[in-house]
Amino acid sequence: MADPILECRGVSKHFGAVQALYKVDFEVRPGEVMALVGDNGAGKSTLIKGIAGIYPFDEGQILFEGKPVKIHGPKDSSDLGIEVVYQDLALADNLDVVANMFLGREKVQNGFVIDEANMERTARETLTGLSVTTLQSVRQVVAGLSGGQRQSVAVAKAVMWNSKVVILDEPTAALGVAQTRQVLDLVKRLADQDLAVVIISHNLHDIFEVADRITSLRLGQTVDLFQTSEVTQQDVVHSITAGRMKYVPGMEQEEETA
Amino acid sequence: MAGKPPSAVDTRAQVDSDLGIEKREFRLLEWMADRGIFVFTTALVLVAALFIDGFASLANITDVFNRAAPIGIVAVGMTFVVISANYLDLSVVAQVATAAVVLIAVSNASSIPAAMALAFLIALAYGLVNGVAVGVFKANAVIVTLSTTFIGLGILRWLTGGSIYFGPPEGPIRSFGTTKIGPFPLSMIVLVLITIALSLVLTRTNFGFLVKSYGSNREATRLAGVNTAWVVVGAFILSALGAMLGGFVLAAFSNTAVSAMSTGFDFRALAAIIVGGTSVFGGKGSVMRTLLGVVFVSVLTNIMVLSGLGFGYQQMAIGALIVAAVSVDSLARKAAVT
Ligand SMILES: Nc1ncnc2c1ncn2[C@@H]1O[C@H](COP(=O)(O)OP(=O)(O)OP(=O)(O)O)[C@@H](O)[C@H]1O
Ligand SMILES: [Mg+2]
Repeated sequence: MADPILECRGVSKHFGAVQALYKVDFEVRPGEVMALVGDNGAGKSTLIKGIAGIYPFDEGQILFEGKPVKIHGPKDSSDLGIEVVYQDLALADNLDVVANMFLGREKVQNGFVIDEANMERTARETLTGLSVTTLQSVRQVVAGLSGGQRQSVAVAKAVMWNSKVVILDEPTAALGVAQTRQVLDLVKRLADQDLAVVIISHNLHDIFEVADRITSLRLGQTVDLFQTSEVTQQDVVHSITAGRMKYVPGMEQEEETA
Repeated sequence: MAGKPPSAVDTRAQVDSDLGIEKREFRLLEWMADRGIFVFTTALVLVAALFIDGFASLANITDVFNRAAPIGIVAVGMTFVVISANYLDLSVVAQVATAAVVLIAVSNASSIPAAMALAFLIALAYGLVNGVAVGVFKANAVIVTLSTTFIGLGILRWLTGGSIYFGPPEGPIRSFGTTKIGPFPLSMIVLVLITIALSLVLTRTNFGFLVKSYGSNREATRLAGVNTAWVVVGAFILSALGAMLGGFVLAAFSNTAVSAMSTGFDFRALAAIIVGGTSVFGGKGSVMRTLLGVVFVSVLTNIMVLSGLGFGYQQMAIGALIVAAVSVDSLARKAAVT
């Protein structure tokens, strides 16, 4: 089995008095879909924002392709090949599909002139490569797209940069049945192309359909790491709501001796 | 399932379709926000030409252009600030007056190139101070530029004592201010050239692209790894350079300069920008639209002047125009949200 491409070891993060993450271990391998589950506020978004460089972890280590790395900002993580599709859909409504896919990383000629033709071609190729075929035009403004189309554009954007790890924070939360189908198929295709995919979701049905493994977080701690084929939804629900925590909340320095 | 309310998904889908219905009712507003300026400007010019005595004369047209040019040059620069979702640059009032006074006073005392160089440095300083306060320190643009207006005008009044500076009756400044090509004063040609140049910057360069991205979705642009402070500083520097050139043109037109000469430039420029269809919410707009907006505002003002309506009426009209344009923009935006 492949070695993990991305690994977090003992990462912690607090916001004021809130210990959002405490000594969390997490990993994902190439070609695998890793689900990250947990109740509201369990720390899922915090974990991926730390990996993405939105804010630094207080302690712990991030390893990429086996080597320890320092991630100081979004640029560092995307340079490594880590792309995140955020929960709140980081798309710019007024801009068209192409402009969104290149947001902040436009192709330029002669140093500063936008290379529209090249951008449009690359965007179209990426969308076609992912079999995203429901878009009428890549020159359409994003505000007019359906939720599923928007999510597909956001995913395609993440994939376009030769990324190795794609992280999706609740990609299907705001979608209807058919659109969820679209996105889940897309997620499977990413893993087939040997990308490492992390998917955060509250929907266990979706997770059992696409994920190879499941990491469950509870109150900021890793409680379980499952092989999806070996567990039932019931097991996962139990882990999310009542999983055994390694450290006592509020007394983070001492290990529980149960 | 996971103990999550499954209804979360359903409710959001519901909201989507609700808004879809609303969208149809508001089509007219969207149309006005988007296309209105083309129709309104054409209609206004036609009405003026047909019904207002003295509008269609060569002398009057030249006069409209002469008055439109300085405000237009300020407005096309300020368009970048508006598109970056930072509302407006109030300090153009201080900047225009400063550039005008520097051009006349310093070239009297020394030379025109020296005057222009000094004005350029001052413009850079304005752009940097405004841009850093807003882009790096995340201060509100309205408060920041209101403050730099006070500081700038304060310094100018302190240095000049409020006195009026006159340019020499002969010389490059005077001849720039009086030369015409057909009905077009040179200042109008400068405005058109600057509009074309800035339009290319906005639509063809990565900087312009980022100003739109940033104005459209700040967070997404930051998350993409963009140095967003630089984008804001750039927008305020363009606004400052526009204000400087606007000040030059204004000084050349009257061959005089005084600290009080640019009163109202802030709101006239804003009126031109948003009447043109650039959104006060940022992310959407164009420099060409601002040029059309300038024509609209200038012709409207001219009609009022020719009809004998005084400055008070003109101010009321500009104010009403801004309220109307901003309201249409807001309503259209609400209707377009999906
Ligand atoms: N920027 C922040 N400032 C302060 N507290 C924060 C911040 N971000 C997250 N938190 C807190 O950290 C904890 C973990 O939040 P996080 O968003 O990671 O949860 P989550 O697992 O993604 O939940 P959800 O399922 O609701 O998205 C919560 O208690 C939250 O209130
Ligand atoms: Mg979350």
